[in-house]
Amino acid sequence: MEIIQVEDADLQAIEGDRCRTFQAVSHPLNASVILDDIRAYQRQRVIVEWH
Amino acid sequence: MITIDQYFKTLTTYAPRNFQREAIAKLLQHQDILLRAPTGSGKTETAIAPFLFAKALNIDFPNKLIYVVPLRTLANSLRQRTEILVANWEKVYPSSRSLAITLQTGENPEDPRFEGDIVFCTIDQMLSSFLNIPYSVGRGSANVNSGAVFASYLVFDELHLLDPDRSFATVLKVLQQVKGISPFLLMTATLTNELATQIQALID
Repeated sequence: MEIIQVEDADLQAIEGDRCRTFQAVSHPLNASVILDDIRAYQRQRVIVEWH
Repeated sequence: MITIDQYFKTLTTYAPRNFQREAIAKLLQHQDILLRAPTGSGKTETAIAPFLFAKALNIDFPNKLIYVVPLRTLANSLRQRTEILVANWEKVYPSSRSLAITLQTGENPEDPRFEGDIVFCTIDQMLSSFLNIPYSVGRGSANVNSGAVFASYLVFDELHLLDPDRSFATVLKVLQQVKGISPFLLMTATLTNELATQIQALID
């Protein structure tokens, strides 16, 4: 069995894609905002990260 | 490689990343893979791709894909995503009949005998089938499901969410048994390098 992992360059691109959704949100991100977004766009998966 | 890139773009509308290209190429050569990639990186597309591409390329590959997840909600959402992917794929590469994409969980036991072409199931359904005690199937035909496991391409998603002392330990035993018979792909977002190496050593 071989182990394959994502290269650093791809990892940065993937992280960039993840951030794209909420980068344009200017107001505070709370549960209500996230839920509204899920409903509006019928999102199947949502990742919330704290920094 | 060019063919994999073209096929992947047909399937997803975008070009594969290196890890996707490498994993797909090796799975098509019947090499087993442990893929470490974060959430949102396209693991599901990578898992489905070799199954579809093998038919288009006329490569010898199992005719059934059993996609195993630790949570039933995950099985539901992945099934929906895969239905869209396969529908797009079949517009370009139609086959004599459309692929049957089924769900087998405690909540939605719609394919107790694993008859679908692509079966999404929870870990308990897969392990009980492999151990000849499948849920929702009588004892007289219990061996049908374990036969299906040996004849399939196996995908184990979110490996890190399995209980280390219970389902994860049993999965390792399953992989030792099917190695060389059923190609398999293990996928995880957060498994450490050390643990991945230990799993590799155990299976090899």
